Amino acid sequence: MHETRIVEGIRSGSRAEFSTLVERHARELYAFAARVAGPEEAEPVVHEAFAQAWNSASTFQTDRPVRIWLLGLAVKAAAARAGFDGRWEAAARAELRAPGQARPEAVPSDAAAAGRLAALVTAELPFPQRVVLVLRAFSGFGIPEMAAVVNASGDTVAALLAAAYLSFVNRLEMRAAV
Amino acid sequence: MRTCEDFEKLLPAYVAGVADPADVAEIGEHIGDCQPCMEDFQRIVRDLGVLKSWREPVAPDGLASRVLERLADAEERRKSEVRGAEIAVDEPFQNTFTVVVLSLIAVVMFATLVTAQTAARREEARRACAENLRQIGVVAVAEPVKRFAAPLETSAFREELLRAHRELLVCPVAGSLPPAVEGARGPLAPWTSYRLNLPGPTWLACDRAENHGGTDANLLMNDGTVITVTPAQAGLWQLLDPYSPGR
Ligand SMILES: [Zn+2]
Ligand SMILES: [Zn+2]
Repeated sequence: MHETRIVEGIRSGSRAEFSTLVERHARELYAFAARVAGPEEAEPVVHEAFAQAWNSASTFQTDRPVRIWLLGLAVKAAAARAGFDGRWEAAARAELRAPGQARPEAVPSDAAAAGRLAALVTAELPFPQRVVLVLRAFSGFGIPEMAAVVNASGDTVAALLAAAYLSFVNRLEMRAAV
Repeated sequence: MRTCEDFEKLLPAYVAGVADPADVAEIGEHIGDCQPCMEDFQRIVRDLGVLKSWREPVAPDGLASRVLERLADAEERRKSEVRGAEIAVDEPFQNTFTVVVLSLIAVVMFATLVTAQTAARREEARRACAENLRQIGVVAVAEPVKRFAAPLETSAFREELLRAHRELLVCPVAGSLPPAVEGARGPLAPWTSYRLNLPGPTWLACDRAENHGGTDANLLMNDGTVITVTPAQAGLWQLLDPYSPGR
């Protein structure tokens, strides 16, 4: 509610309201961008997302959470950099393969190593899968929110999420095999 | 007949809580009976668990101020481009009467809009809850088990939930299920607990706290534990999902 008022302030050109928005959301957008686009691209993605937010505050739908709007802008910025054409539905139609051979040693017991592995495997996923995986694992979003962030249907996001889970598992096991 | 290979393909969606409701019961039953498929299921959950060790990338110092600086620079550039092309704007209203009448109209329109928006939001929440129910395969809705008198947030209600064994609370504001939901048995009564005969090792019921006026909601797990979701956390459809908040 309060956030919506902030965006209304931004619409009328308030710098103060905008800086509140930036202070509040920069951290989350950065973490999201770093996970989806890699640490190098993260800051440029955040800059672009906020620039879009400032320029397109008038198109913000006040019944939507600000967080979803901003993450959506970050997704767009990251997509452009990743060369993803925004065709979420087509991306969701990829064929699912059954999980590969199980390897009990796939998961490192050391937490730091596991964290690095998670980043490496995620980076190998196709962009749309990466986005839904990161949103699901770290934003606490359900399908409707994820669909709102990426501006696709719930069915599309659900299919992408299942595909992302499967790709993640397969790639993780493949790494363990090497 | 579905083979193990068919089930394997369905497992990621099952784990993510996005499997076709028509398949959910069958998948749960199968992995309960089939050791290799159960192992696959556990492997998916275990492998995805690696993501939990991925620490949050920390923004470099001064990120927020750099964002604001860039923006100010861009604005400055734009302004200097349009300067000189500025058009003087006349006082639009010389007549006080016109201003008063227009203000009144605006107030009435605004009030109407706000009322309509509240109703729309409420409706949207109901719809979302019904959709959540659909997603966990509420085809399994059985008879109402218990009606609760107390509101969700009170600790008395929480106690009551804890006492109720294997009964899952269905969204109190969901209203009725969409007619499209196969096997749905009519409207759900608010504040009523339904027994959901759902298979699978762990089931989570209730739904988004957000749909409940922004208050916390208590979710009863079928292992008897209760977790609390706060607004903006997801709930219902994240059945087996290791990333279900609160796990
Ligand atoms: Zn099997
Ligand atoms: Zn609900």
